[in-house]
Amino acid sequence: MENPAHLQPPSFLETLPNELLAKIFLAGVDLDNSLTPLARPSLISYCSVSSRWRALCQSTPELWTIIRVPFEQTRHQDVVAWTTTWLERSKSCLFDFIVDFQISRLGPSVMRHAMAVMSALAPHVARLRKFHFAADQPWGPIQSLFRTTSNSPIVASELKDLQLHLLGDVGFYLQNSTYPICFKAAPRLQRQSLRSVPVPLPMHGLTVLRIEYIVVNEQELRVLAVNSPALEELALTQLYPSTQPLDLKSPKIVFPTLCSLTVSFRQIPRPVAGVFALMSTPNLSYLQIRGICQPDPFVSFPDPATLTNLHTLCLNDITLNSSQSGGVSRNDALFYLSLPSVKHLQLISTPPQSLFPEQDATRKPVLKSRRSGELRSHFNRPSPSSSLAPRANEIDLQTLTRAQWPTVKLPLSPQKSLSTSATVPYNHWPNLTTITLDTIRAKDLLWLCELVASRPEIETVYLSHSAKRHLASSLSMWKGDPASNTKGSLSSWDANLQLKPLRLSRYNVEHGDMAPADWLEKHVQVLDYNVTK
Amino acid sequence: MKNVGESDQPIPLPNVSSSVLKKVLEYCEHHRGEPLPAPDADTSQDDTRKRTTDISEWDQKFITVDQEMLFEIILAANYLDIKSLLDVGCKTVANMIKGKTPEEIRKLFNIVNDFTPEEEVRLLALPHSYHQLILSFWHHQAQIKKENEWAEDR
Repeated sequence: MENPAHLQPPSFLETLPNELLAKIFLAGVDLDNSLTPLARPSLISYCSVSSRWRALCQSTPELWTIIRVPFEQTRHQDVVAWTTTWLERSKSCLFDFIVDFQISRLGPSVMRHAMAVMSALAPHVARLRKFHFAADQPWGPIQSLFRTTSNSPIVASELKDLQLHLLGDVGFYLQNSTYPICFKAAPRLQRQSLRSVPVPLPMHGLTVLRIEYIVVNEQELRVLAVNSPALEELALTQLYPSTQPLDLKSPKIVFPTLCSLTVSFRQIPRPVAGVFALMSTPNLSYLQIRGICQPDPFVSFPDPATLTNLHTLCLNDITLNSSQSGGVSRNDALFYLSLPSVKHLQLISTPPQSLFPEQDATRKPVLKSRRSGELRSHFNRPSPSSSLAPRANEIDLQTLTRAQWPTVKLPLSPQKSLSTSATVPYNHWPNLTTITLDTIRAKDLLWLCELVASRPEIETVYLSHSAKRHLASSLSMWKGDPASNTKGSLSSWDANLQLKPLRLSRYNVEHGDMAPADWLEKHVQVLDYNVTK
Repeated sequence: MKNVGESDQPIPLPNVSSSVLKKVLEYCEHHRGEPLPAPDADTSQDDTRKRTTDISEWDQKFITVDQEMLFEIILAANYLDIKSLLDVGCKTVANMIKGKTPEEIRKLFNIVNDFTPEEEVRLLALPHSYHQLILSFWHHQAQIKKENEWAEDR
């Protein structure tokens, strides 16, 4: 109001018709979705700019279809008015309803307002498209919120995405129960993510199912397979192992369209067969095993020989150890090495050395000095044993087996003799093109460089922030004494890199110390891996 | 435009200036051969809608122009029904607005604050109205910010 309109420079934005201005507002609302819930919704700003903007916002229901109930950001007594306003302004549009109920002290006043919010939602449930509810409270005190409106027999006919995440690590059984929410059915539900809440059965027509803290038995898994034959993604995490005995000769539980399977256990499973071993997943392309409580993979997961489409293997917080099963020593790594089609290997807080054997300790480059920032290697000292001999000769296949383990038979070269196999190091997973590494161990990064040096088919490396930091600041790579540029004095790195056909000229153009980060970027595409836990 | 078909006759584009048309053609040339975006048919009602908020590096560079040209491009893209270009333009403006206060938005785009004094007063006076809610929200946000700053200082 300070500057009269006629003194203002022209506003090009104001030349846009309402239709286009509304499109800009919609783009702004979409941007909000990528922000944290604490961020100020753009609509609030839009409504306060001018009367034209406000009128346009208020008359465009599509702008009001993502309703984030601001329990954190606003006084609780105002939240109901907020919710009602958004619900009314969305008119007849389908809408998303997102409640982040992070209230540490659940007093009667808070609950009263929360129940009022749920009551406000009830008349609009028929338009509900997505319902996400998260609370840092266990199911016990929270369930009364849903009871408030459960009396009204409303079918959430448009609901496709349901997420209920509560606090607590109680293991719920799948059970025949109604949906613990303010509607009695959701016939179009496709995506369901549940944590620490009772799990309803049957689950019809799902394509995505994620559940935490449950006990999975064979019978429930069969019911799921029958009722959700189009299931594409299944994540069952923080599982409590079933105590029911399992017969591995039972008919397979077929998930014909399942592409992605993620599994982790809350407790260390007993050494009995796990229900996943009964699964038949011919189209599985992504498998993630997560967590320190690991079952014996040979009796817990599908037969690796049947997983011919599995191209991405993600091992998250896994330590591969030998184990005793029935008095027979076995190496868990063998299970993963038996997967025939792995192209992308993701190692998240998982030491790679069990999957890719370490070199002989006397030859392995070691580093360690953060202070000096130098990689120190046994090859620093000119030695008669250091030579340009093929790298494969430096790696003994015996290192594939630790002393107490049986010999590892690489799955794709079962007939090869030891000497033949030894000519090609790390020769399993021949289709491997991508490595993802999230680690805080410099040792793992050294392993990565060695792998890249010896496997020219590796094209892309994804590194987490911490891995990149280590690569950039904790290590530097000694690549030989430039003053003694003879084959006999090359470091193992040089020798390794000479093996890579595309890099044959490397030695001629690079001299002296170089950073591993630079080296890696010269040889493969290095991309960021965004850690999402 | 699609009804015109193949013709040697000039197509009049009275609403698009030559400099803007040149920019539009540059965009089309760069994106030639790319699949067309899905039609707009009721996407707002579909939960599977996935509006991407990212703008490619080339598009960002392309759309880095002054405000007059930016809005001319948006108008031209709308007139010529080039959905992807229209999206890029709208996202760019939305990004310019993001995180700004109403006053900052007005300043950026030379928009006149035409709320009457009564309306402004009403915003402050009405308890529990929607706009009171907005003020409450901002106050709460400011409070959080202050507390965070205090915590950081400590």
